[in-house]
Amino acid sequence: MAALIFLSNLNLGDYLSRSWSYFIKSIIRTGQNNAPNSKNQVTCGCWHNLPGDIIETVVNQLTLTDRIRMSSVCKGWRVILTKKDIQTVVEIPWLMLLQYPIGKDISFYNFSEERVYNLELPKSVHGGWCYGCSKGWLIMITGSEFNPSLFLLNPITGAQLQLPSLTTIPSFESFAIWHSKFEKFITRITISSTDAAECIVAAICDDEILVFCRPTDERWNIFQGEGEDNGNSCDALLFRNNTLYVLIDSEENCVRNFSIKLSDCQMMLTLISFHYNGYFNVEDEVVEFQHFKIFKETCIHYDLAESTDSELLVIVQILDIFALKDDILDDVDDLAYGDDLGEGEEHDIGEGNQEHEDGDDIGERYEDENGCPLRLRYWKTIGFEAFRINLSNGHCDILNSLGHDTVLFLDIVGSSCFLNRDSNGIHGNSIYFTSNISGREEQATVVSRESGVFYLGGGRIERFLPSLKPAEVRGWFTANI
Amino acid sequence: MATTTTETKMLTLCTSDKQQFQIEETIALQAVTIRNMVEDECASNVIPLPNVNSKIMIQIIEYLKKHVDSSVSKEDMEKFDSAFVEKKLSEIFDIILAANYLNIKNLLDICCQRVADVMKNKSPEWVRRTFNIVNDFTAEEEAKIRKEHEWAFEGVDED
Repeated sequence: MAALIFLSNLNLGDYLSRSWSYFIKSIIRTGQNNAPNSKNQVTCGCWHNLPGDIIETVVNQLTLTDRIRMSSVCKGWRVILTKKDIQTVVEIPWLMLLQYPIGKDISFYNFSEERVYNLELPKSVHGGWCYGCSKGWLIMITGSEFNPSLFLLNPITGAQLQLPSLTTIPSFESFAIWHSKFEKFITRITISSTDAAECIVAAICDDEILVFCRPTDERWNIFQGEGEDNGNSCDALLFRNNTLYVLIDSEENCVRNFSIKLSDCQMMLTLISFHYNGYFNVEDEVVEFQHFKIFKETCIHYDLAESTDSELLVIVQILDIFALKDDILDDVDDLAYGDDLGEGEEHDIGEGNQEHEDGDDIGERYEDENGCPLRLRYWKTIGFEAFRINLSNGHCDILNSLGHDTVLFLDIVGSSCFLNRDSNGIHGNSIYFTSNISGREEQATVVSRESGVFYLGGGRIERFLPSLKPAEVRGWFTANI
Repeated sequence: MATTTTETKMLTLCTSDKQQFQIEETIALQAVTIRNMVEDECASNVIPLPNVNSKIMIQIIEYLKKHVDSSVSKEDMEKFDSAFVEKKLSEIFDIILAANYLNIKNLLDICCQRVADVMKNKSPEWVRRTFNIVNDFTAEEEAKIRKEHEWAFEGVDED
């Protein structure tokens, strides 16, 4: 098992460092080792004449990649294997690897095949921005602040789905004036379904504006709430069936339900007020270490997840902030609400502060005052806590275990729970996370190690994935055709 | 109806090659097709199974005997199933057809799983050779299909 993990990561590491020949050789070796006793299997029998429903039963047990390969065996199989409504096995999500500036390809690492796939991206997305992936779609934006083009792209089929323009959201214009990176208007975004014909897209804009649409709509619908919601930050999104769950950071601990009418369908909306109390001891614990001071457990990041037995979970990621000793860090309040893991430029740092514009205000600001560059801040994940929400009264209780074979995959867009019963090197009762702290900054220089696995039993973190390069996006991708 | 000293109800199955198999009714009734025949009372003392030969019937009875035994743990049953499908693909093929005809869902599932496992990470050429399937695409058609998802064909096992 350990060897398997080692080998798979060796492959990934080799891939990332672009040492192709070795990588390919090791794939071939792995392939040979894993090949089942393939001799003496030559057979007769009219396999191409098997009844269609039996072939479908076989396809139900194939992975998506195997299904694609088998659909080119013969014409008869192709007809059955390319049918739209046919299911394949639920697979461990692939690790999406995307480098800025976005060029002609995107890569995925498949843990079960121990292989990296390189897929071509259409020209129209080159130079764009990717928020991450959800339900088999990449969520991307191109264009300018005057003409932003937000769309979904299925990298497997190449299908694209245009979404309404951000300019139909009134506050976009003022955001774009103050921020050089207009794409950061969207803080969180998620999709309800793999099926383009059915899906609803929901997003949190500028940390607090909740918007949703059907891809065919002309404009975004803005959630007006009940008035009292103004000012509360929205921190996480999750679609479950036809209900959108939104986590609001508030100490009320309550649940409110709304019915939302969209252009051609109804959607249920549930606002969950939640506040994590076990953090924010800035004054208590600042540790000095060499050139750094470490603000212990200062930053948190919320996520919503659905457990394998359909319970709603709040996942809290707890992070330390590393800063240089002479870094004043008086904006720690802003940083601590890690909605976007420390890209503090979206928070108010003072009126008329022009540094908003360069998207890297923290470093710049302190450079002005202290005369030294202070871009060196690092958010280090120290653990996760999971809470189960009671949807009837908003009460929550802490979970000590997700289940011995349950794995939660967490990325910047959302989460997916997976019941892992295979011996594929993926461990149960764990959270596989990849948070792009610096990755969303095109100019970022800090390599991030915040990608790995957290074991709920014991609270250990294993940073087994190769470091994230600056300007790299990662996510957990569930392929769909 | 034949009975034994322990009063166990027996059924007689007749395969395509006219072999007769006497088995306990509880074992045989796991096959939905046989159960329907018995329930509809269209079965006389001997149930004809013209789509199953005796060689396959022996293996299916072995499977049914194990699965009727409620004392076997889930783990042991899984072990039995995975050992049971370790057969030549030609036999699996015949068992699939028989399980489909007799309507034994779990048997069909484990055999289909075995076929899927064989295809895992293999090239279409390998699958054609192994399953004796003729490539009826023209070279152009095949190239076009592959081009759509080139990534899926890189690095697969050719043999």
